[in-house]
Amino acid sequence: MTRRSKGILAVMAMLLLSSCQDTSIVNEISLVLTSAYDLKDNQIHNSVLIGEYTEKDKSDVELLEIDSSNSFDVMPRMNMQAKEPIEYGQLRMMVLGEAYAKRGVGDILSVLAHNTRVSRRMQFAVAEGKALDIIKASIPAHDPLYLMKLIEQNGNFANLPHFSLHQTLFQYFSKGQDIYLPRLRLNDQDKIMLNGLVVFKGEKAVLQLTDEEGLCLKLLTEDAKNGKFLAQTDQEGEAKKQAANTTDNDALIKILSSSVKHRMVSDTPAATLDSKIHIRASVIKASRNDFLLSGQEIKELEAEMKRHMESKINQLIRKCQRENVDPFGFGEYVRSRTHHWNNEAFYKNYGSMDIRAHVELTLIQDGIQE
Amino acid sequence: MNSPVNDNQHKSNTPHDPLDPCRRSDDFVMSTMTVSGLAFEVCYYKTLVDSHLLEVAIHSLQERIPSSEEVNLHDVLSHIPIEETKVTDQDEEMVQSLLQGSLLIRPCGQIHEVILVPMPGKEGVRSDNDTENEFSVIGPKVGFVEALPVNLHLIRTQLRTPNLIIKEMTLGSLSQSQVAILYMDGIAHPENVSRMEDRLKGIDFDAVLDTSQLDQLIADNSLTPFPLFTTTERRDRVIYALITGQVAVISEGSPSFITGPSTLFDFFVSPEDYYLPWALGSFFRLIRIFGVIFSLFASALYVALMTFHYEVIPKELLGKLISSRQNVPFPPFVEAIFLETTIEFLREAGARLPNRIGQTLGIVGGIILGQAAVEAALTSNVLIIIVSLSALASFVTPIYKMSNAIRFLRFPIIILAAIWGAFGIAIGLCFLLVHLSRLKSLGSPYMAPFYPMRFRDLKDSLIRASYEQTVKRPSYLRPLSFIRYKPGRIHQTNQLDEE
Repeated sequence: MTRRSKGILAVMAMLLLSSCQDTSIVNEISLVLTSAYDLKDNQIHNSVLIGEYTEKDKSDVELLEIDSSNSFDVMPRMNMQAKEPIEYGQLRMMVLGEAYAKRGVGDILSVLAHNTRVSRRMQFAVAEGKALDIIKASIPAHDPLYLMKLIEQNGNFANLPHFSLHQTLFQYFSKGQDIYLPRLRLNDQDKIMLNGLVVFKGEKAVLQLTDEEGLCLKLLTEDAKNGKFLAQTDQEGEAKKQAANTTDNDALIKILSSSVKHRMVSDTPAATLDSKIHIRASVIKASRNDFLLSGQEIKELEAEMKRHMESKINQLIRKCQRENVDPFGFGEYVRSRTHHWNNEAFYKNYGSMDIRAHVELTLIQDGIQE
Repeated sequence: MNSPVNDNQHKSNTPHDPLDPCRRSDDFVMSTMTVSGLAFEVCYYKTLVDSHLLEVAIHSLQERIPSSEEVNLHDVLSHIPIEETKVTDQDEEMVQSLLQGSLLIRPCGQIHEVILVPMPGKEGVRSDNDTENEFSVIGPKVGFVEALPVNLHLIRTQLRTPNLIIKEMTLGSLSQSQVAILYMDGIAHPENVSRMEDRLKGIDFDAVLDTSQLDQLIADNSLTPFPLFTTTERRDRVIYALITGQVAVISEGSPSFITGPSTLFDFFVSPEDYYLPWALGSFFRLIRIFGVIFSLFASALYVALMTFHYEVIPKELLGKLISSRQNVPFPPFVEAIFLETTIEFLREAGARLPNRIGQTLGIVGGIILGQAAVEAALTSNVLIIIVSLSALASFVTPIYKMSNAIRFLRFPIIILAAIWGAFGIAIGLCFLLVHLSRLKSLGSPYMAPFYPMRFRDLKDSLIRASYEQTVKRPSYLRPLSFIRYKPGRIHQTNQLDEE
């Protein structure tokens, strides 16, 4: 065979072998951007928000709902309602109903794990009540990604830890940690707002955390850049001393940066862990008359804040230990340090493990003074 | 000489006059003049000779030849005050020389020994030698014209060294064009020179109209869209090629040189890079390379994303892209090919039209057509931006032939993207890289210094390093002497200022 005919053959073979994929031209498909899963009379109720970009510079939202007996076939069945083929490649937000989350998220996670088209940076959330209500409440915003933006924004600039499908899948399949997801609720004005976190045991939601505990979790699991917390400084003696000229004794602290470092002190009989958290923070408002605190005051405030944070973080750890959930990934950390790690043995002792969190806090002040 | 023109009918004439083939043309003049009792025949092509020199020659013949009975052509020769005058008895040379613009003088009746006085006319050569197609803001604007002697003069005046060797040869069975090969003795590798000479000698072609025809005829691979030799009308570019050890070739009647062996990266080099500070020169060179990559793949990427890979579109662009395509009735492939063809129409029409009309065409094409196409919902406005940007980016290459190749290659890549999406683009890129790695220019690798990797030559490839760094000539040219200048002595002025 000559060289040329070999080349032609190769190109022909490529045409045949690669076959023809169906085209999915971007304006001729229905893009699912947000999806919600609920449990309704022992059936799965799936509702999706489809982006409608018919007009220039405006996006609109279409809501479709379907019932099914399992989590697997809702996606193909949804197609029966759509005027254009439904595609999940741009799915970026998934809300799970409270009942659904308590029943177990393993099905949906394994569907997503096998779907290569879905972005690994997709966001998850658990609704308080029904997920459908949450995504319905986001429709007036005319933005099919409203919920995703809400969660991402809070992760980047506020107290919420960062989430992604990638991380959630890792937490689900890893034996040494548990899933935690943000929790959404409707407030009195029917607006969506964040309401702490939900921690899972395996695939089932078991524990709810408050916003403040969410921040503690963030500090323990990632190098946080943002986050604010209100700390009461009124140690009894001081409160009386200051009572005359202060309206309240709270200090609003803004975290500038934090880093966390775990250390395994010993691994027998049960692991003992030291977690050191370094926080650089600035005081936004300390309820004193001076705008800026003097050196002595700042040292006192630092010590108070340190005590405050330490106790909060240690309380969170105890709480999780009592429920035998490990959103911090302590098991994963110990696994990476020990030779024959056994998750069953580890979590048998988990409740009584000695895990100590230490906080080092540096307060930084700026502004003007008399 | 094996001429393709049929001249059988004159072979029967006896006695055979070598000038018979010329007489058929009306611009051939053959007159008799008598000087001191001797009759001479004077023959020339009136369309080829310089009328002033003709007058001088005739005049000096009439004035100076002493009367004698025996005619010695060498005596006559010494009285003609024109250079390169000679006596010959070769029939072939007589005709050739007449066709080069010589005056032929022979005594009546003695047809086989003649005097040839070269006096080629210089009309028809453009006097304006600005660089029109390879413009630069900084640096000389001297370009070449359509006359070989002028062009060689331009080179000689900037390379005043006996080591600049010019070899001439005649090519083209009908045009009989002079072709000059230039190289620096002691720098250019002799193999490159002899290879160029051999290839040119091996050509049998009828009329050489431009050097770029030679470019194709001697190319190592005639199937490639890429130019294998740098074509340039700039003097500084040719001189730079010569001093780094390349061989330059120009043919009579052509305003451009080809230089080789060239690499792919030579086509992204502008002489301006060397006139600007090295950081700026490097930056602009990188911009050019980025422009070419963008130009090759931007439209194809649009087609691939819009047709197959909607999931990788960033969420911020999703709404914009979809709404811009909302009412377009064609698939993205047809849309892209439609716009790309429109741009090619505009370019082609603009190149054919006179300058002023060309500008109007640009406005009509660019603004009115683009607006109308979007309003009629035939294309999306995002694609208009992409296509016009990539057309613009394809023109950043300083050598026009390369930008043609780039624009041509866009189409197969768009087609691949329409069939296989990003996978198709990857296949196209693989084919392109394999093809480029296999290409050779005058026997040297086209992808040097990247394939084969020559770390030292990287200093003047993607970037233009400072003059302290580029002391040595590029190694893929295998120059006989590597050092261009002494590195330590570039900045003498610094030491003087410190006094």
